[in-house]
Amino acid sequence: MSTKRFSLIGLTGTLLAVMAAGGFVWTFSSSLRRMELFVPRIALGLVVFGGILILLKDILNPGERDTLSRDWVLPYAIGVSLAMWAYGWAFRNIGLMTATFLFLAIWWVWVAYRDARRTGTFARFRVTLAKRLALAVAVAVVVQLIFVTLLRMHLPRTPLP
Amino acid sequence: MSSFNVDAALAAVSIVFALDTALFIMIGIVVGISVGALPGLAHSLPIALVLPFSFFLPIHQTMGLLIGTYQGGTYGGSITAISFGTPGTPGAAATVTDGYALTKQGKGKKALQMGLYASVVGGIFGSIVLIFLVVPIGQMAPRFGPGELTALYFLALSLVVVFSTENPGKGILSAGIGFFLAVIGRDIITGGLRFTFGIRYMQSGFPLVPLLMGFFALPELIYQIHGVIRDPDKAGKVGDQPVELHSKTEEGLGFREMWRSWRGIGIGSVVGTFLGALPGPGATLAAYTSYSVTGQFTKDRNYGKGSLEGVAAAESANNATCGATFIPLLTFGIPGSSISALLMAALIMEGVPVGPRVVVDHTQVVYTLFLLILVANPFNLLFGKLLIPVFTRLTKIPSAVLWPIIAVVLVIGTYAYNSRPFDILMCIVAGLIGYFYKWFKLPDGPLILAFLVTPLFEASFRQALTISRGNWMFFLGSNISRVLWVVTIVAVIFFVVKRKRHSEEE
Repeated sequence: MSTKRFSLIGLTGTLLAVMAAGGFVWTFSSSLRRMELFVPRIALGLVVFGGILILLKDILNPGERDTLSRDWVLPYAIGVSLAMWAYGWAFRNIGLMTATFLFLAIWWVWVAYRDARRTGTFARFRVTLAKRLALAVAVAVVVQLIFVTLLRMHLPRTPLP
Repeated sequence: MSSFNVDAALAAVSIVFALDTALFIMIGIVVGISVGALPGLAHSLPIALVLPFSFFLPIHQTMGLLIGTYQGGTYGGSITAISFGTPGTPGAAATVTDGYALTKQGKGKKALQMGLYASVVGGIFGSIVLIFLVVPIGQMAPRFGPGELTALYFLALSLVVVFSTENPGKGILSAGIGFFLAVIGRDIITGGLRFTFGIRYMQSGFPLVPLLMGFFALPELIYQIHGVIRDPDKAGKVGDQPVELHSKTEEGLGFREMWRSWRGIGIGSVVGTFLGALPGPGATLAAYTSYSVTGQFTKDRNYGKGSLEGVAAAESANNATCGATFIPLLTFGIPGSSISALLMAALIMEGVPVGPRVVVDHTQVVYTLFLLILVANPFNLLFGKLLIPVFTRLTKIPSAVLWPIIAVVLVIGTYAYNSRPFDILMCIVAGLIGYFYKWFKLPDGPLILAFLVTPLFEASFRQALTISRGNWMFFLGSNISRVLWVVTIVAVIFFVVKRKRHSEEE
């Protein structure tokens, strides 16, 4: 628990409130009609109000501060997002089965190798590797059967991201 | 149904309790549960796929298949919500919080069983209400004009914000973000583009399925992958240590535990039936509203952190909508959701013109539908029970193996929704929003509810202002509106005061 008067929680609340306030002010220079902006203004107003309440609670009741989760690490979020996007791009361009196999195989081979090196159990590495690759093939085939053969999912080539 | 037609009822009984009908219901249930359990594949998909069968199958077989798929799919969505924190269908999103927390505590089996039993109880309740109140409730629905609907949606939004969190600022902030995401796209009346930032795909708004998939599944995926990379020794199964400890002795749900959740099941059944009978709200809104309302009455201190009552509240509500959604459909020909629109299409293709006269002109068909909806529930219970062990075992698969497969299903499921690569990007954006929510400990309920209700709220609100030519007193023009506004104000004051007293006592 932080003993500072102004913690990261209050700072984040303030930042969101300032951004929403900026958006709220911007709506007055927008070309949209007044009624078109009615609900967006409510939305931005709520974010401003919520952010201010978070800030006030942070300042007035520092004892009640709930610590932010430390489990969530941004580089992993970016990495996983990029991997998912790359897989989405790959299955449209190199085929669903190939992309799925590669996506799973690369990840599982790397994890199996890392585990073998960490625990020094290279004797089992080949067996684990064979099992994981077989599983990757099985998943790729099932995915192909469900989404392409059965559901006839449309997969146009889209080389550009 | 002013008078009960005995002959039609007996004919319906003989049709529904035949072997072929039972077989089609069973196939529907198994397909529904299996597809519902696949994140991203909404159960409207198999219903749409089996729709052409109505051209050559008799009506009882077609409707048995469709109703079985509908009920099985509605329950099936909870399986992955509980086992992996990824709702299989949007209606199961409210189940994630408590269901997945229970799985992580090694009580996944109990949670799955509670989800199943609550679903069946909610489904039966909704079916019985459909049978007995189809006409009275159907007659009440048209009285909900734009003014009344505005008041109703405002009530739902207010309560969720009040109920959602100990910190009202976070609840309001979360609802504000949900409101904002919902207004992106074309204006519902003028067609003007709002906050699309020049992106063509955004003109149709922020897509619902990628939002739900990304918001719930991606943060968990990131967390699990982080665990596998940073601490491979600890990253075991989804249920981590508790599942390991109880893997052989993990107990099922006891009758007492089920009985202790009577509030959640009761509230869920009533809320789900009521909201299911209104066009628009649907299973997701019903589940969240029930979950929020039960949160105020429960005595379970673990509510929101791994409570069986939380699972019961959400699951009974979303399955209670299955029967109730037929009320506006059969009485006025108004499909309350996309799925009931598909069911309506099947009835029309079978030569049944759905509308106010259907009860008089096709009494036997109506009785057959009632019975099919009712009979599908025991089948749901049976096959749900048979399939639970299969899905429970999946939680024992090591994280390093399981989560990449879920990532695959997540990406393909999101893409399959509309065959648009843009949806994958939206899923990732929603996932990053969900990641922020987890980090900042914002409640997810207000965002999802605000996102779902805002288009309905805005449509009725602006229709009301257009009809009344800008006269705001129109919102207080009827007794229903006045009652709803009073209920909103009283409920908000009551629950805020109650919460304040509760926190002072603590």
